[in-house]
Amino acid sequence: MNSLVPTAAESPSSGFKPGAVVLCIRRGNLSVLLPRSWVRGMRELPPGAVTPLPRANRWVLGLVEEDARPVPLLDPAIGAGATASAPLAAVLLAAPERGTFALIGADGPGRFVSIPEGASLEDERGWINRVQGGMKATWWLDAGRLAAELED
Amino acid sequence: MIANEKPLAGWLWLRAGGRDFSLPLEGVRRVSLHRQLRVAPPGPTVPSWWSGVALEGARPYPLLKLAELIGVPGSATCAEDSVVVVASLWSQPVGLLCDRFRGIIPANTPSWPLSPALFIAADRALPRARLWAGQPVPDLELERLFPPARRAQFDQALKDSKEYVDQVWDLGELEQQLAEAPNSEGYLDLAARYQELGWQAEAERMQARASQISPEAMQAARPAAGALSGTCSPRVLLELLQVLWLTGQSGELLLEAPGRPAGSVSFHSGRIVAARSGDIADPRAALQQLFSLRGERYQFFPGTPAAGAVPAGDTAAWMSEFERLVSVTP
Repeated sequence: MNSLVPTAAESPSSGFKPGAVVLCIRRGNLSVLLPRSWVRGMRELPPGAVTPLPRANRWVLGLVEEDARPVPLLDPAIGAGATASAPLAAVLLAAPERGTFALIGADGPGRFVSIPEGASLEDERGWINRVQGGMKATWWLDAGRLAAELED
Repeated sequence: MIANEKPLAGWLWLRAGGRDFSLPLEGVRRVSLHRQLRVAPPGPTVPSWWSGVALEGARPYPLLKLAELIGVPGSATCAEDSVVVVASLWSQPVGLLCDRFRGIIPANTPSWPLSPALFIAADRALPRARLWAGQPVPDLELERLFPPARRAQFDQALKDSKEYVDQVWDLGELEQQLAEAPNSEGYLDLAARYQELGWQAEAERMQARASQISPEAMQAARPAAGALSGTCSPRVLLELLQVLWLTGQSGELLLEAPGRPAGSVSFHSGRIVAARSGDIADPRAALQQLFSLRGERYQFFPGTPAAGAVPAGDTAAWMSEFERLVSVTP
C-alpha cells in the first residue's frame, strides 16, 4: 500500500462542477484541469531531474526527487492518448495533510480558471477524462481517482 | 577464517541497461569481473537473456543478461568493466551480467513503495525505490522477473546446457594442464575440439595461443589475470589500500567472505570516502574490522564511488594506524 495517498478516495468526478476554481495547465495540444484542493504547488523540471522507470506504463515518465523521496512523474497527454515533448514543469499532487504522491508533467506554469457553466465530463472511467461543453481539447484530471489507483 | 561473522547489510548498487538498480545483499554471493570468468557459450535454442554458463569454482552457474530480464535495452557486447553478480535464485546460484558494480547502499537508507499501477506488469519486480547519490534507485526482486513461462524457459535452458557444460568443463581442465605445460600441438588439438562444439571464439583463442608458443614462452610462468583481485590478508589489505591511496584511484574495493560480501571501501581520487563491514557504517571502525579478514577474496572496481568526493576522515592518518595494526598482528 502506498502510504503517501489518502485511504479514502473521493468520488471519481470529485471537484468537477461548473463555477469551481481549478488549475489549468498546458500539455502539448491539450489543456488539463486539476482540482485545486489536490494541488500542492508547481516546480520546474531541469534536465536530468527525471529518472526513467523501467517496465512502467507509457504515461509514467519516471521518478523525480521531491521532498527527499522518489515520486512518480505522470504525463496527462499520454494518459489522454496524445503525445507531447518532455515536460518543463510539474504540478505536485497531494491530499490535504499528506505528502506529494505524484507529479503531473506540464509545459509551463499553470493558471487558475473557473469551470464554465454547461461543462461536463464525457467519460468517468479513468483518472483523465475529456471535458465537454465549450472547452476545446480540455481534459479533467481526477486526482482522487488517480490516488486510489496508485494506492491499489 | 573471518572474525566478522555479521554479513554486510544493505543493498548492492548496480547498473544494467544504463539504469541503476539495487539488490538486497542477503541474496548476493559475490561480484566478479566478467572478463575474468570462463564461460561456456549458450547453445542455439536458449532465450535471448541466457548468456551461457560460468565455470567458476566447483559449481557452474547460469549467466543471465539482467538488462534483458528487466526489459531495458542492453548492450550487444560486454564492456571491459562488465560485472557478474552471483545471486541466489530459488536457492541456487545464478550470475547476473550487469554493466557495472556501483557500490554498496547502507541498510538504513529509507525506501518508499512503488505502486504496481505504475507498471505494465503488476509483478512487483520493482517494489520500492530509494534515493541514493541524488537519484531514485528502484529495488529489484529477482524472482519476480520469472513468471511461470520464463521459469520454464530457464529450466529448459539449464537442462540443455548440461551437455555443453560437461564438455567445456573437460576442455577447461585440458586447457589448465596446457597452461602449466604449454605445447602447440595440445593447443591445436584443443582448438579442433572447440570447433567441433561450434565455439569459434574459443577455437581461435587456442589457435592464437598455439602460434605464440615458443621455447621461451614454454618456460615462462602463466601470466597473471591482470585485474586487481586476489586473496586477502591484513598485509595484502594494507598494501592494497596504500596502492589505491598513493595512485589516486577512484572506485569500490569489495571484500568477500565465502558466499557473501563482507565489506567495502570507497575511494575517490585516492581518498577513502566510505567503508562498511557487516552492519558497521563508521568508516574507521569498519576498516579496523576488515583487517580481521583472513584468506578471503578482494576485487577492486574502478569508477566514481557513490559516496561522493568528501573524505570520510584523514586517509593518511588511517594508513599509519593500519600499518601499526598490521605490524602487531600475528
